[in-house]
Amino acid sequence: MNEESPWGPGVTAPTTLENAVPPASERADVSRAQNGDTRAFERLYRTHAARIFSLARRMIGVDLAGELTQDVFVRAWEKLRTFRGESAFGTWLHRVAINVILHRRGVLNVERGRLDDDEGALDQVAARRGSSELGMDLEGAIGKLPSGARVVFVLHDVEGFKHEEIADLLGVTAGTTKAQLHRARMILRQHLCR
Amino acid sequence: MSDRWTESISEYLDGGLEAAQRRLFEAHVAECAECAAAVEDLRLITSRAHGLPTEAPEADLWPGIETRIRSLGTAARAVPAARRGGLTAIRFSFSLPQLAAACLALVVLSGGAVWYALRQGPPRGLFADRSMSRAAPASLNAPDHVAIRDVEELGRVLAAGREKLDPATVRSLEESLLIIDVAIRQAKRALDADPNNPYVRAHLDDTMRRKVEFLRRATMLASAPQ
Repeated sequence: MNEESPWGPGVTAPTTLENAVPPASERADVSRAQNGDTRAFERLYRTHAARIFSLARRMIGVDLAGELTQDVFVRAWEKLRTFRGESAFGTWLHRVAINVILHRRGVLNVERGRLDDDEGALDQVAARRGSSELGMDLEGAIGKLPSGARVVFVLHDVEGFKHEEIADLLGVTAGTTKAQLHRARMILRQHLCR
Repeated sequence: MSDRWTESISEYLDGGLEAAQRRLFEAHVAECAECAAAVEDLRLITSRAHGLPTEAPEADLWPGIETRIRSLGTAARAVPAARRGGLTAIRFSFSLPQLAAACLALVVLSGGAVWYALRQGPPRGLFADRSMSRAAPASLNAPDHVAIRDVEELGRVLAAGREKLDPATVRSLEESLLIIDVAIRQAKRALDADPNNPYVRAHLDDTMRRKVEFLRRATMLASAPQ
């Protein structure tokens, strides 16, 4: 039986995660956690919390990042028995996280009608010249991108997913994700490099 | 710098241009300082984005996670308890989609009624309901607590039984619950804005009761023998 893929067939792990080789202790903790050992699961949480939290913060925003990180680990605990060890635990957890985050984004879309696509929101982020501060500015600017462009930018440029994978995740065409990515980059450029 | 070339910058950087297009693009960039600057800026942005560091949450989130995963263990034991209560003997007269549609229709209709009532202003004269005085009595809040407790308990039972349901049914349930939750949040926001409005209070209570009833039905379905 194949390991369950939370985002369906055809979507592979992002390149940045495929290279990660989990230590033997992590594999042992996964096995213990699958048998109900919460202390082992806590160690897995400690190892991966920062990555999941950062992903949530970039995709949805800092206000919900903590809550979403909790949701991701609770969901991972629920689904842990479906993990067969065919990929690294971090890769599998990352997939779970993206599904949880995209689901929440869907909820927010319903609540707010549609997420605002206000490009002017970027003006609220203080822009600095000079590439040395670009990293810090980039975090703030990503958070102010229009929702669709933001998710695609994070998944592609930060997390290393391919357009076809993002399109599958979001239920849109690769052409749409390419257009959104270019839009995101140009908005960021307009803000960060002016 | 024309739109034609601008639109190609990302594809160029991501290696998505065909060889012939790529040569054309590079020939243009060699002569266009504006496009060359844009290429370099986007290259810098993508390079920085790929190397952004991770950041741990300020607060330790583990205690909250631990509490929730321990409660999941409780829920797993709650399903047989529900069965012992004779729920499996109940026959449904509605299919789940029918139930969901009816529930959502009621939520939408009652929401519309509240919206209409709010437009009309506070109740007056013969049609004013004395039980809905401007100062909402404390007893009106009691169903909230009951409903919240019921929703939490039923949610746990449903979570434990969800694997027995068809994925399409689970999706349908989740979508319906999502819409009900949105209605509840909107009602709560309306109540925050106008805490003494009896119509909004009644709408919130009603919507929460509908959620409890919906969860009860869904739980019975999840607990039914396959």
